[in-house]
Amino acid sequence: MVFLFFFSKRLGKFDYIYKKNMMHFLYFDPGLGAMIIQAIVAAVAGVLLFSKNLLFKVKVLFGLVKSNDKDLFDDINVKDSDSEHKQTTDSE
Amino acid sequence: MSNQHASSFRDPSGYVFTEDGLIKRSISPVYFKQYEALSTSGFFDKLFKNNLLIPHKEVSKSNREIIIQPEQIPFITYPYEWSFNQYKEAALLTLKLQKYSLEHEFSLKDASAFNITFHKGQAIFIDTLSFDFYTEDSPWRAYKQFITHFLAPLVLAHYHGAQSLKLMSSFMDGIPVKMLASMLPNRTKLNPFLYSNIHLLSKFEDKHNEDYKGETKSTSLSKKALLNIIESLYNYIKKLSLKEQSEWGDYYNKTNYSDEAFVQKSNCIDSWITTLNAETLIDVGGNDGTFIRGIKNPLKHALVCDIDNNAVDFNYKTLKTNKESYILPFVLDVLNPSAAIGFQNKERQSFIQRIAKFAPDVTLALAVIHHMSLSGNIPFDMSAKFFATFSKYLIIEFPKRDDSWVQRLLNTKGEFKDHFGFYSIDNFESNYYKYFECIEKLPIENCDRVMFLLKSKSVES
Repeated sequence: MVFLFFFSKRLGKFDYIYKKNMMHFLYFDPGLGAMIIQAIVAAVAGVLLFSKNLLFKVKVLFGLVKSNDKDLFDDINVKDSDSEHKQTTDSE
Repeated sequence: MSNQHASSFRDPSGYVFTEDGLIKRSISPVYFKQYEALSTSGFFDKLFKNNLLIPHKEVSKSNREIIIQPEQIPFITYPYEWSFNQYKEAALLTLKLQKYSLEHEFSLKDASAFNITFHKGQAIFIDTLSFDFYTEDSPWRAYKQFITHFLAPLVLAHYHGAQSLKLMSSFMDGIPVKMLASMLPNRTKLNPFLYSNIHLLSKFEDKHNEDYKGETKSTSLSKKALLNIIESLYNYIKKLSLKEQSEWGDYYNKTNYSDEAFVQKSNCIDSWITTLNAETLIDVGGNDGTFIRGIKNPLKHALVCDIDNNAVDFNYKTLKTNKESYILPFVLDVLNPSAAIGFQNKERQSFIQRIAKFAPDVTLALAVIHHMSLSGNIPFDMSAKFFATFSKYLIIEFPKRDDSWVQRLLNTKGEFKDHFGFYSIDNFESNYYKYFECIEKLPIENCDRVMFLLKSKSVES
């Protein structure tokens, strides 16, 4: 957290880019802080995802990966194959 | 413009209106470029095929406006009426759409929870004009909105219970970040995900909210970094769970129903629904939908609502597993149904307005009247009047005064028990027959409960 705090201070000073055109069509306030902070959030997310993937690989190596058949929700990717969609609608 | 939908005024890209009872959407020239790109690139088609975005067809096209007609949704539910897993699904759908958009050079320009509703047994995105072109190296402008509309209620529900999801009816624009941060336990500051997405965000928002000059400064962010944010939000939300157990979860095990009485009640409902040839219904206080699933007559739409978020959640998980597309579960307190909220109290319709428009063939009120009368102190006359506005037919179960649940409720009244002397089957019938005529009455054997099939005197078919 200490690292994050210093990183955010540094970011606040040097990394701003003036981007007025972005706000042209905005009809709600995105929050200035929220726009700036995303660089930090992304850095944290990158570390978390990297360690998650690493952990997954280690688990695979030791055969500890459980089947996720019981998951109510699928993964983040939109399915590319139309046949997969067809199967789900057919069974409804 | 006169029949423009009361909630459709924020986005200059277009607006929703009703024509001949059908929901349509007008697209303004300012959004033509985006609309054409989304239509011709196959982006829309892909989302339609994957049931992620409500399908639409183009009705007319001119230089001044394009009109599209989306598939009609019979009953809209709002975020404050969703169970925990419904809310989760809505959040995950938004992230899924944002990831897909980014991969195809688009981006969601807003991330409101009201952009989503439930249709055919799943969450679906209904704001077709939310997609905009992606600007290289720009952050996600809807990031804060996503946090306040989705992550906030879900994280609060995780730490404080599913009741927290109801906060969205007070905070239509999302739960304030500062309030959210203050409501989370201190130990969440040690979690890098929650620290960066909530606590640090709150600090940054606090620091920058007084920049009145309007000079928007923003950080530069690669698409890869943006995708990292989306993916880590997805992973965290997908794993989120509730700590509490359902208070109604084992309801059917702790009631005084014998197996025979349960079967008799279920058969009675099934035969009445079949006789009426009902296709649409609402089950008020429907718990986990057990009795709806006992109906053999094919139904088009069955709304199943209950006050208990966990029962609704259980129902939702069951319908996901069974792939039942006709059931729509949602959370509803019958003593305080969702109000009309937003600008002029018109943006989000009340439950009463929506159910009047939906006009189900039958209303089911099973084992709910004793809770309304004894816990809510609602006189029979008022509950009868209330149900008479819903639909032409009412199937209502009346637990008699000797019923163990009724006795339990009466005992909690202490010395005021005598004030509830009105709770008797004679009183019930005389009040309900003012608004309904009795078509059939069936006492359930070996239990102190009676089933009624009533026909409203005021509602025409």
